[in-house]
Amino acid sequence: MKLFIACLGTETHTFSAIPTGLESFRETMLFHGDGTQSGDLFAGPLRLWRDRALADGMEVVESLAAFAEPGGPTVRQVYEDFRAEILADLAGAGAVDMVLLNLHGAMVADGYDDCEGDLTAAIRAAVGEDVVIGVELDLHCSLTRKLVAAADVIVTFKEYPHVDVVERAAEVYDLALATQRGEIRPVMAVHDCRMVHLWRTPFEPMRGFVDAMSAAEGHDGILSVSFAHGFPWGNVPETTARMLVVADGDGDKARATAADFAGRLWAMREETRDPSLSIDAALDRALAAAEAGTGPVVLADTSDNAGCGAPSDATFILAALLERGLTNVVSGVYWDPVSVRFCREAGEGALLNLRIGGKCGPSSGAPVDLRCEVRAILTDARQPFGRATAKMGDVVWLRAAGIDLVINSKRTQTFHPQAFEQLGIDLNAARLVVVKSTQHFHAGFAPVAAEIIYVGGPGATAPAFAEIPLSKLDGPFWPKDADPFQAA
Amino acid sequence: MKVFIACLGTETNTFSPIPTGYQTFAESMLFDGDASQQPGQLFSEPLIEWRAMAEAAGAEVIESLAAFAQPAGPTIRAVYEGFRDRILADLTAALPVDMVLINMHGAMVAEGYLDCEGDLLGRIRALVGPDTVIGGELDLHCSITQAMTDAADALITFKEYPHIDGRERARELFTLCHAAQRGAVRPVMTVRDLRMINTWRTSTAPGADIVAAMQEAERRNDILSVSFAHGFPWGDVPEASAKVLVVSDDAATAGTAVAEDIAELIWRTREGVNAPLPTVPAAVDSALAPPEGRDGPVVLADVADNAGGGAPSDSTFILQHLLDRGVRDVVSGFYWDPVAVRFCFEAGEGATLALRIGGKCGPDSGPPVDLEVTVRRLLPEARQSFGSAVAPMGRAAWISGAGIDLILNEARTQVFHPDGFTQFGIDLAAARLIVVKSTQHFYAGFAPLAREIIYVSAPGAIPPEFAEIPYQVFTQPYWPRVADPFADDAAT
Repeated sequence: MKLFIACLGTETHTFSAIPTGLESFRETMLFHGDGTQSGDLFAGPLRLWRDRALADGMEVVESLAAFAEPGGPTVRQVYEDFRAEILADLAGAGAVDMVLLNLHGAMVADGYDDCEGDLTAAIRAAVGEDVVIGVELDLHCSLTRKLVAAADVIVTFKEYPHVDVVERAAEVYDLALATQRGEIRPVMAVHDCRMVHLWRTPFEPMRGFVDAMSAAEGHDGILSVSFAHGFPWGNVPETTARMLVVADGDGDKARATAADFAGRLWAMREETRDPSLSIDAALDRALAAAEAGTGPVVLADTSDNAGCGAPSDATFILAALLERGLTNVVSGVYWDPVSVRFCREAGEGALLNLRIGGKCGPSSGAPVDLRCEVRAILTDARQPFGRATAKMGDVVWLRAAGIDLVINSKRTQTFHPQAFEQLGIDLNAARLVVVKSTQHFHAGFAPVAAEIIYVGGPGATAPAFAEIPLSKLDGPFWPKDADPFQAA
Repeated sequence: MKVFIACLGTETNTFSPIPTGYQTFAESMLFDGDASQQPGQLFSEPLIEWRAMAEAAGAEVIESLAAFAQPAGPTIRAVYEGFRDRILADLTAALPVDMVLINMHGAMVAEGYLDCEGDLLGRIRALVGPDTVIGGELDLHCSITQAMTDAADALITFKEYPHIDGRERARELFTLCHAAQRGAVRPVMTVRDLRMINTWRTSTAPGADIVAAMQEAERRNDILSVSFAHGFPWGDVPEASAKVLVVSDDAATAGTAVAEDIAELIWRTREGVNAPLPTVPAAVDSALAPPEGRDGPVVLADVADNAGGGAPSDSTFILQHLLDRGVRDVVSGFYWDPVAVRFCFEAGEGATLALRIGGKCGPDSGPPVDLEVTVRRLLPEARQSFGSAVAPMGRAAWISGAGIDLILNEARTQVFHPDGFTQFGIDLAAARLIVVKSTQHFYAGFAPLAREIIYVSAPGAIPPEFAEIPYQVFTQPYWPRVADPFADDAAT
């Protein structure tokens, strides 16, 4: 038996100022057939699939493993070359029995609103109807009709933060293998929730919702339940949240289950509304919470999350901190290759007048000029994310006006306290910690935080969902429309 | 005969926010003993000349380091000391030598060293002893210090700004030092402090007249060389002021007289170099109403953002003004913007994108400009001519937006030559205005195609407001801050 595996993905913020070309893939992850030999974060599913398949006595043909830090649409030629490489590898593999793809689900290229649907349909055309195609997706995906039609089994992450990437990969493997062996006959049903939002899964009522999804699986003919949250800043026709249920042969059962979960989600929409505060309100609350003195208060700059395609160099919160004269604050990670360069040139211990951030466009805000002390410099640093590590590039710890800033050369969100601590920063001694991340920071920072406050200031990924200009979206959506079903 | 040659230099703007470390040298020029065997750059060309002349004279050549950094702030101490000690180690290994020829800038400052050239020359003298001839070639934007003239036998600066005579001066220095080494001449240096801080352009009067007067004086048999060290205005060092340097053949009295003559000419013509430059609106007004009788674009020189003087080369003051007025058919460069260049290369030729341009280094850069642009052409290794040398520009992008064509690049450099633009396919003759970030080096290349050249006093890192430079270390009175910098001397 022969298994073909590949990975291609990025989360495309179609309004982002940052183009996504080959260099963005090279910096994040780009392997041509040997991605499983790396410990790379985004190669986790491929590693699991290869290990499981080899243990099951299969032959494994491994193709491209490519992932880019989220930004704007991928350059057409870059996507087409990647697609051609995967299809050429597939043709070169001869007859295969199973294809497993690790995709993001919200990848847009110039001329392609639905890269995953395009790629999977091309693979289906190449392998025919009898080969099993299984797909794992990020939950911030557009679950398109084209993709669903082309695949046999699709499973998305359940958790945000994405702590279950490898578990979901195992689920895809098990379902695809059972299908290939004729033990199950998966049918997929999709229910459009007509909602554009972010849902954080550690908190109720989402925690219970995810647990109910898991509980519904493995009995009564239900094989898998996924909630595809959608990606709010992807201006594509099918960007809304969708429930996906995979049932064993019973389409009606799948549809009914999907509708049931969609109804539960709709019913709790007010409770799951985005909790973000304005910058001023967040700082007021953070200072009050810090009085309690049980550890730092963590503020999440959700509007400048590189993981959603933001530049990660916005200065709106930094300017507010400086205006209030707040000290004993740690903040990062600012993508600023120009300042990193100057710091590396000057060396540790140097005092410099630096222009921080504000380098990519209006969503970056105005740059901030500060006299900075270079406290520490790390070359090719990484930070943990789940069981893997993510690249940070060169990282510099600066101190200015009583604020400790961390800047870096490889754009990435802040995943883990190690992003700061590896430089020698003591987070426990800080009053406030401001991280550029929407939710992935949560797993690592919750244990050290006295309180976590989500901030929704200006920025590329500001959580103002009703105001995102989704001109390509088919039909109304909540929260822009109070009842999108009625509006339709 | 054994000749030891090396190069170490940068022009230090002590006010610049941009640190000068190893990477800046590595990107600009850094050769480990083989600079003279490689294609010539402005600061390696003297080594090429010296090797050729020495070998023609049957001498053995020992070549050490050749390092030069794009001007910026003070050099990191460990970087300077590392380069210096490398040269000294190579020299120690080569001893005894008959002649040491060093190509330097003359305005290099490192942390802890206000006079790098004086430090280096002094240590070289200590190693070689009194009998070895030491010659130094300098950029004319240098500080001639007591430590330098004490240590060297002969110093010669460029005469021309733009610096088109680096090779000539190198040959002159070799000839002079070789004669001294043979005992045919006995060089004696005389320095006359002008107590002036300014920029003198030698392409037009009065700068051109001063050059001619120096060349005339050099025709005397007892005068070996006459240099006008303009000084570097943005170097806050004790001996920052402009000076005249005369090398005579054991004729100090004649040398002093020549230095006085040249100093008198420079002083007498001072107002001709200090005419206030127009502000940005006034310069653009003039440029939009150019003189009749000549075709071609008007060239505006953004002298305040000249990378060659340590400025960031990403200021937006003129660009924003042009956008505010809706002026079109403009070509402007080079904006040092590695972030925007990266985005252009990611997006590819033909892409349109909303780009944030410039304003990346500090207040002298001005606010960044957000512009919808089309990526017209990308060059992975752009370059431009500078005299007979080639200067690297790094990855570079031609972008167009709002009727303005801009060149963005990754290797910070001033505009030297029109080919920096035309290599992209830009037709400069079709432009109405060309805005170049350069103080004077652009002149040689652009004058032939320009209807008119206007030097602009924009805000920036090195605005040409010489009376107002905030010196802390340089405390001597100087013109134009005071009308007569020697007045107090006369009183006492």
